Amino acid sequence: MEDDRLTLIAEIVRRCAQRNCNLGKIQLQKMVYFLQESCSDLGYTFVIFHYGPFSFDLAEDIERLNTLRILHIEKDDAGYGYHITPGVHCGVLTDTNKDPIIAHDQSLNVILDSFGTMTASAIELSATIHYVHSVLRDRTESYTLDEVKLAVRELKPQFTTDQIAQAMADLPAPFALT
Amino acid sequence: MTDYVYPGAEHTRFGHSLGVMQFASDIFDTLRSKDESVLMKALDARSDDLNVYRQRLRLAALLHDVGHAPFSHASEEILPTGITHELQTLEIIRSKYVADIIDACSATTGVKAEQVAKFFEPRTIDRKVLFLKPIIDGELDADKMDYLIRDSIFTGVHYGKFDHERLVASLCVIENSEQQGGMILGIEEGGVHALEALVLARYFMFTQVYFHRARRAYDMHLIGLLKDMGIKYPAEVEKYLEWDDRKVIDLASQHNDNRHARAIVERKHFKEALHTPDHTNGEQRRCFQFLWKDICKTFDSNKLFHDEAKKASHKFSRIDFFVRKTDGGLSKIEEMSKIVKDLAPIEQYRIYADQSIRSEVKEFCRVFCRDNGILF
Repeated sequence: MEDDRLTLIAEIVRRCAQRNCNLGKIQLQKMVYFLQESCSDLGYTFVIFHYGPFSFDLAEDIERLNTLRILHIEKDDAGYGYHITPGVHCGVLTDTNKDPIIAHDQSLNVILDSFGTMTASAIELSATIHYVHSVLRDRTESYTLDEVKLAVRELKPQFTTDQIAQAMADLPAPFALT
Repeated sequence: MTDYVYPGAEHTRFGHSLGVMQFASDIFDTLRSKDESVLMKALDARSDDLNVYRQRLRLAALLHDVGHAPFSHASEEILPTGITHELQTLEIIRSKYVADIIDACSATTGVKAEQVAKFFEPRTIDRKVLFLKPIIDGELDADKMDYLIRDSIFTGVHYGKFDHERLVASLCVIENSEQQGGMILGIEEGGVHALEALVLARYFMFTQVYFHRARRAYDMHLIGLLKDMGIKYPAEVEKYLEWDDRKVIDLASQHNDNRHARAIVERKHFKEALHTPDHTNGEQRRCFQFLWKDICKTFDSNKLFHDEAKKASHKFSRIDFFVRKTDGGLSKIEEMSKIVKDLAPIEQYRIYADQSIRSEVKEFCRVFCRDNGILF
């Protein structure tokens, strides 16, 4: 199980590099969030943190993969961001542990197609909307999308209500709010 | 089971919980004294209400570990699937054992049990809880501050000490950053070195205490004993609360026929036969996995176990903390501290063997590494 989820993280990074996507820590966290939401429980617990849904265990695994040189994480001196690319030992996982990659191939492509070109800010908002919606859906018998919007606005005041509404409408089909 | 390595480490979780409550109170009081209006804005509260939020925080801090299994993190594997000590903490706070007491005092405190329980709900979107919770469970929190200093004092390992007074005094509320929105706990530039000291304390206490090879051996014997007995901690609160450290040690004393029980009682723990570097790379990790498979085919697997840093408690991890600079600007701690930026988490793997076969296992590892050109 552990190697499988480390492999999937490495595979996301590898496919992003192939597509020339700019991948940082925020994007990677959110892509794994959406992967877990779409196909199988990878065992990560996500909580709302500085940039929306965040898993401390996932952050540790990303750092471990950096230490193992399966990923390469470089600081973006121009801002707060990071660049994550495949490390010199990336193949140790992605070339040898193919089963989880094959099993999740379609989901991985959906994630990359949906979010691969999004900025960190945009994916943060999309993930926060999705998370808030799923919490309200699980907890209450009835809720409105306006309530989702208000809850997201309270958590992310740097986004306007219109921006949130637009992001809700723009959520890719597999993750659209129902 | 740290006291098996450091005999002075007989401090209790209750003492720690009182310490966390004190640190949480100090942090809250610091934030309030610096700028009460910002704290009121963060909590959407009036000045009078802040005392109630303080009390909620104190109770959450006091109870934050009440759901731990015996020997804390060491036996978390024995919890039922899907249950964590945090979830058990939530259930215990909501149970008659705790809720009745908190609710009975609510006329005086202004705090209801459910308001304390909210701190431990697994998926919260409550903005006020999300602001307060990192004070007791975050990257720079009261929990870490207390256990590092407390464990340092009681084990006699001095690495865990840092200037906690300076650190707490440097904390502040950072608001409306374009980067992350909302309000969060941050640190003033003057506290950066105190923060670095805490980061170093975490790193060294992990290597010297929490991931100490003998201590980890006893952790694994503990889990081995409980698994051999077929024990799973019950999820139901009343039965769960019947389990404590004494009950587990009594089990070990009563089952001297069990190899793990004997290891614990007679202090004949499995000993380390091999370890990889502190920062193992991916290729070395793969080699270790092959080595482990071969060792298990060659020797009695009942006389072996393997460990890795990931499994130990209080793992060192990178922090992502905002700093308010003296010019009023914001920075991430990594940009202001090379220590925080460059210090990498430990990624080490170990093989342990029963003392009766340890020499052979060590020799097997040496030959395997030589024949496969592996340098650990």
